[in-house]
This record gives sequence, C-alpha cells and structure tokens, in this order.
Amino acid sequence: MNDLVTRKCVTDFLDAFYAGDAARVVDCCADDFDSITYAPIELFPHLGQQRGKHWAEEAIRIQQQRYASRRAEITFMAVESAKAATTVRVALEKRNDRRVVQFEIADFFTLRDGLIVTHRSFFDSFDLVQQVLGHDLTDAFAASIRNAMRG
Amino acid sequence: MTEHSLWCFSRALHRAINERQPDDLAALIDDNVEWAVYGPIDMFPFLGARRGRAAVLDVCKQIADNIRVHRFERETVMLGVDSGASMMRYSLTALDSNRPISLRLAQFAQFKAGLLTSMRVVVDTFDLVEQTLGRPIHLPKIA
Repeated sequence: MNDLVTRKCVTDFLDAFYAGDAARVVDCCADDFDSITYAPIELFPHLGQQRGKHWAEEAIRIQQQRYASRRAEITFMAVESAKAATTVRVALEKRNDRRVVQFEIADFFTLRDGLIVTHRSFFDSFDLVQQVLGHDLTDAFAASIRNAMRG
Repeated sequence: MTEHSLWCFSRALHRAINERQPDDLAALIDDNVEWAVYGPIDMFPFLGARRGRAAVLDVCKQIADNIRVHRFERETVMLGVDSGASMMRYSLTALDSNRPISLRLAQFAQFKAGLLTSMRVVVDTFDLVEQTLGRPIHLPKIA
C-alpha cells in the first residue's frame, strides 16, 4: 500500500476523532475494525478492547459529555506501507471543574484496502487517572510500590 | 546492506540491562540524547526524563538494578531512515521481590549518524502499578 494513502487515512482519523466528527472517523475504518486502548475501563469505559467501527460514535459521545473542548496535535508520525505509528499531544477541558487534562498518546494503526483495521493505543494511564480524578494517588501507593520492588 | 540503528541499539540496551554491560550502549548514544519514559517517578525512580549520555547510562543502570528482562517481542515495528517506532511486549521480573510483570509499551527512537538522539517510551502505567502492587486499585466507575 502507498505510504501517502496510509498517512492521509490516519491523519483524517485523528483529526476527525478529536474534532468530534464521528461520521468521518467511521469512514476511515474497516467494518471489522478492532481497537485496544490500554487503560482502566472503570474510568474510561469507551477504551479497552472495542470491535466494529461504530465504536467511534460512542467514544466521541462520552468524550463530548465529559470534556468541553478537545485539542490534539500530531507530534510524530511514522508510516511503512499499511502500518503507521503516531504520537499525539492531547488537551481536554473537563466540564465538571474546567481543569485541562493533558497527555501524550501513542497510537499504532494497520490498514487494509485503505481503511484502518487494527488500532492499538497507549498513554501514561496512571497520570491520566490522577488528572481525571483531580487528586494525587502517588502518596497512597508510592511506599507500597517501593516495598514491592524491594520484596 | 547496513543494519538499521534500532537493532544495534536494542541489542546494546538489553545487554546493558540483563548483563550489566553498558559499553556497547554508551557507544550508540549521542552526547545530547533526550530520553523520556512517561510514568510515576515517585514510584519508579528510573522512569521520567533524562538528558545526555551520562544520565541515560545512569538510568539504564537503575533499570538493571531493579528489573530483569526475560522475554520481549516486537509486535509491530516501523523503520524510517533515522527513526524507529515499535510496539513491544515484555516479560520482566522485579529483581528483589521476584514478582513477574508483563507489559506492552510503545517506543519511539530517533537516530543521527547511527547514534540515539531521542527516545520516548509510553506504557500503560496504571497496569504497571497494579502488577507491581500485586492487587487491583479500585477506581470509581464513571458512566
């Protein structure tokens, strides 16, 4: 597959996702679209493993419900034939307290016939949990973690 | 055909961590390298940002003091002329507690003249914390 086709599809997907344009996101995905975002689903029910391209509509609905504004900037993109990897810097303004949560997300895409068929995504989930909850969890667990590392 | 810098770097990194032999790694790192492994540094002091070869070698020693890599697999890799992006799956042990940890991570590396100039690593850190604790952290459900 042409690198330019892959680059355009992935760029369209990310632009549309953060713009909240579910129809455009769906247009970028194959029917058997499979997505895994590695994150705790108690707080992020639209993440985890999701199948089918209509996942995007629900994910965007939840994000729009929680966040007043969403900004994203692609900071890195590597493309090799039908595969792409990106990093995106994201800033979301929470509706409940107007605080802005910021994080860097890494996404990996595989395309088939010009459409995204698999999507895998990572971010510093512990930090984002703290930002979403609005309080620091480090004190509660730092000593336990240090003990666990020591045995 | 010359081997891509990512493969040389990867071998040297694992040698530095598992065999505590950092010489190969030192030879492959730029003086002004930028290094960031995003995560809670109060819990895992070897995470976070570093700048410069000495700081990166020091943090690799800290990693070697804390974990052993048993197995790793590159599930996806994309190579550019001077860059590499990969999604990897690691099986580790926290050395002192002997606790097994399994994690996936995203790695983005940039090179110049064969030397590492930038490394960024993204991990599902909430899962890492839970595995290290050996129990789940209960979170409020948000509908």
